[in-house]
Amino acid sequence: MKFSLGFVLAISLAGLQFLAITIVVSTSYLTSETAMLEHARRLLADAGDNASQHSRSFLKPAREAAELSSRVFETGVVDAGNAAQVEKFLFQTLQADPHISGLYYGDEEGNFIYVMRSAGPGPFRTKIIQTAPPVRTTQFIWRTADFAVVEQRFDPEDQFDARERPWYKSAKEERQSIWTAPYIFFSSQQPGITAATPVSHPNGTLRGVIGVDIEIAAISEFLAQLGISENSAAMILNENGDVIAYPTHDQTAPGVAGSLDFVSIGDFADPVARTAFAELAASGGITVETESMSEFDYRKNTYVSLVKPVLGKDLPWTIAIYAPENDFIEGIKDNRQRNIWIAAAVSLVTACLGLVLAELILRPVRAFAVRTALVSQGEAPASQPLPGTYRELERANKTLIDEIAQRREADARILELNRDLSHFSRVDLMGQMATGLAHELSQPLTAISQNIDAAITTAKEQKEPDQELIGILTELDEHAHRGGDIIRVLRGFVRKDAGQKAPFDLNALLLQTNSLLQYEATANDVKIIFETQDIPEVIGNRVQLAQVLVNLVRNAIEAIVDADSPTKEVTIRTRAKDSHVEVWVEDSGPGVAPDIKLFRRFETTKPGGMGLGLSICRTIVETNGGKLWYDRENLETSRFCFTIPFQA
Amino acid sequence: MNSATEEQSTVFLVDDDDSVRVSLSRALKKRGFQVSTFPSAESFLESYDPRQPGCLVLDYGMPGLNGLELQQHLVRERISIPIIFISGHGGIPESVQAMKAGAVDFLEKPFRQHLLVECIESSFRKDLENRKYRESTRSARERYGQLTAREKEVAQFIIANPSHTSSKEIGRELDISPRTVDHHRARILEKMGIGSVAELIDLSASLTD
Repeated sequence: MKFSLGFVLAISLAGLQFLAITIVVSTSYLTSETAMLEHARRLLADAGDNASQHSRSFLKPAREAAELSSRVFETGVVDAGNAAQVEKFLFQTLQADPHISGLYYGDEEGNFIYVMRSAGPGPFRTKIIQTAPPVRTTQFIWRTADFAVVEQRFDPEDQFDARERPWYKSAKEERQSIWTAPYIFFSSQQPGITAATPVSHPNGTLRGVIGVDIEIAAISEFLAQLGISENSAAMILNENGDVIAYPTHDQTAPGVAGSLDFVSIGDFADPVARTAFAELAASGGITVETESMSEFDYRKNTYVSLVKPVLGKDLPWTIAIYAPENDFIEGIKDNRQRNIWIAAAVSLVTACLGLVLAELILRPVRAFAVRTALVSQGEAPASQPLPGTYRELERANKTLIDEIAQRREADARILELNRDLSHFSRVDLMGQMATGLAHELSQPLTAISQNIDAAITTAKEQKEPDQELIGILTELDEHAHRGGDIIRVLRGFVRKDAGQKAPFDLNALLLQTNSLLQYEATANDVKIIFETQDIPEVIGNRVQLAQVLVNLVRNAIEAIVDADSPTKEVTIRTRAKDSHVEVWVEDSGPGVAPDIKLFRRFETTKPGGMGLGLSICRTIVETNGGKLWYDRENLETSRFCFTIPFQA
Repeated sequence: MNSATEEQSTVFLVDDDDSVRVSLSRALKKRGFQVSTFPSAESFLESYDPRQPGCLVLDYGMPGLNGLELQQHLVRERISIPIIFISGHGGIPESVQAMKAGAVDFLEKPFRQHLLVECIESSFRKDLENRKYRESTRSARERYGQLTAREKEVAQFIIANPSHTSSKEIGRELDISPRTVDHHRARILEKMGIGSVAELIDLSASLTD
């Protein structure tokens, strides 16, 4: 399949730039994605660090406050037995740290002082339980930030006993600072945790326990503010896989007041978080010691996740963060989409430019093609100047023009020969018939004349010669000779018409006659083969000899076709021998039957033939000083031979 | 050796056309010629004996070996029978070629009988003369062949130096006595069947040819 030059040019130009753009776009696509994912991980890790640190800084003051208070009580700076002093101290400490929702001190005797933030009549509320005899009293005091009393009342119904609370029990048991597990605060009904530190007597026995409350809602608020990305979430899980804190803290809130059950991650409302961490929790609790990062898919979106310990063994919490990749690379994706469109547009524009360029490049070629077509059809002269074109085409053009010129010349020569032949055929047929008649008539005239001579001799031998008979016979002889004279005139006329002899290249003539016969040969599926030798120029009438060749080859083709020979070949050979050139015309036909007399005028085997062809050929060849015969000895092929003398 | 006469001469007629061959041979026979006919050059060559005197009346255009080729063949074979061409084509170039190769005449068919008869008669004479000459040459050579080596030497010297034929001169040159020369000379004249040294010199052309 052949494509036009224009098509190839356009395709290659447009294709090349399209390929280039595709490579650039896809490379930047891949590298930007990798970079963005890297960036996402880094952001996530940063967020994890941030959350971890923040959580620590959130929790640490509570513990420090508890420990500070413990030391203050133990050293006697504040008298732990003086409720007013203890309240004042706790109040100050609460005010100092906004994260702390409440501080309290409970002792072994069951006394309990609790300072907390309040939504009630004053911003702060104090609960004081005194078990000193005679009766146990429970007093609530609401204060302003200036420690001024807003309202106070007693609650005789109160049954609270600090010594029964988990934080007290744990601290007492451990005899060191502890964190409680998250639970619902008795007073505020909010989930939270407590940092508890034991307070000892100087003798080392336990005097009481200081607790500092932190509401987890505050952690949740912080997590909400962390703002890693639009669809990301950070949460805190405990060792059981329960969600302690989540940006929207009501997710963690217990369903039933008083009994705090944090939602297990496996049952958590956020499906993404479930997918991300449930498996981790299910595999025997979350005991993360080092930070780890992973990727997961949820609903065809890819997420990155991070888990990270918050404090350590004494508070086995884990920060878990997830974020969809898209949050980080969405911008890039949009940008990428835009880039693809831009690339497509650029492709289109450059493709158009490529087409225009191809057209420009092609224009001289096309002009050249049109001109060449015109020249080859003879509608424009070859000398017509070449339109502005390329050097290569100019060279090709020169070759082509030369070729066309040569071809024209050859065609013209063949045409001329053809014209000469047909003209000659017409003229020569008359001449040949005359020659044939002259020859054929000369024989019987000779016989008549000879017989008359014999008759006259016989008559004269008589004793009394019949003079009248002799006179008649003599007259008869004269008539015969008059006939002979007419024939001689006829011969003279024919000879005058025989044309000029000149030296010529016989091999060249063979090739020209081949062109004349090619159509006939091809139409009959016959192959004409030349086996020529280098021969000197022969002398003769070129046109007449061409006619002989045409006649012989045509006869050969007819013989092959009539006999329907399996091999269809006509071979023409030339060779120099003695003083003449011998030409053989061989065909693969059946040959001439032995009983057929060739070269007789007016004898033919062809229906519609005049029987003049071969005899004319022979006459022509003889007129040109050669001979024509059929080689009866050669049995392999049917072979006609003729000779033409060459130049001495 | 009998030398041939005109009466023994034969007209050899070669023509592929039956009517011409028959009529022409009949007419010539009527006129008293001996005629032998052949339909082709090949059949003529087959039966022709060069010792037979006569002339060849030859058709120019024949299939196979044509008249001109037969003429050339005879020339090559050193058979010098006179040839009269008769032709139905009558081309000038052909007649020129034939005459150059030694033909007596070239007659275009139909020809006047007296022209042919004249040609035949002159051919016969020419043929007989040729034969006579060839015969004498042949017999002289034959006789010369009977000479001894020394006699041939003497004869050669005489032929080569016709002005120095005295016995003395020959003897000096050949380093033999004049008497011996005289003896050889007498033997040479006897064997060659001639009467004088001058006749020997006349024969020299036939001997060296």
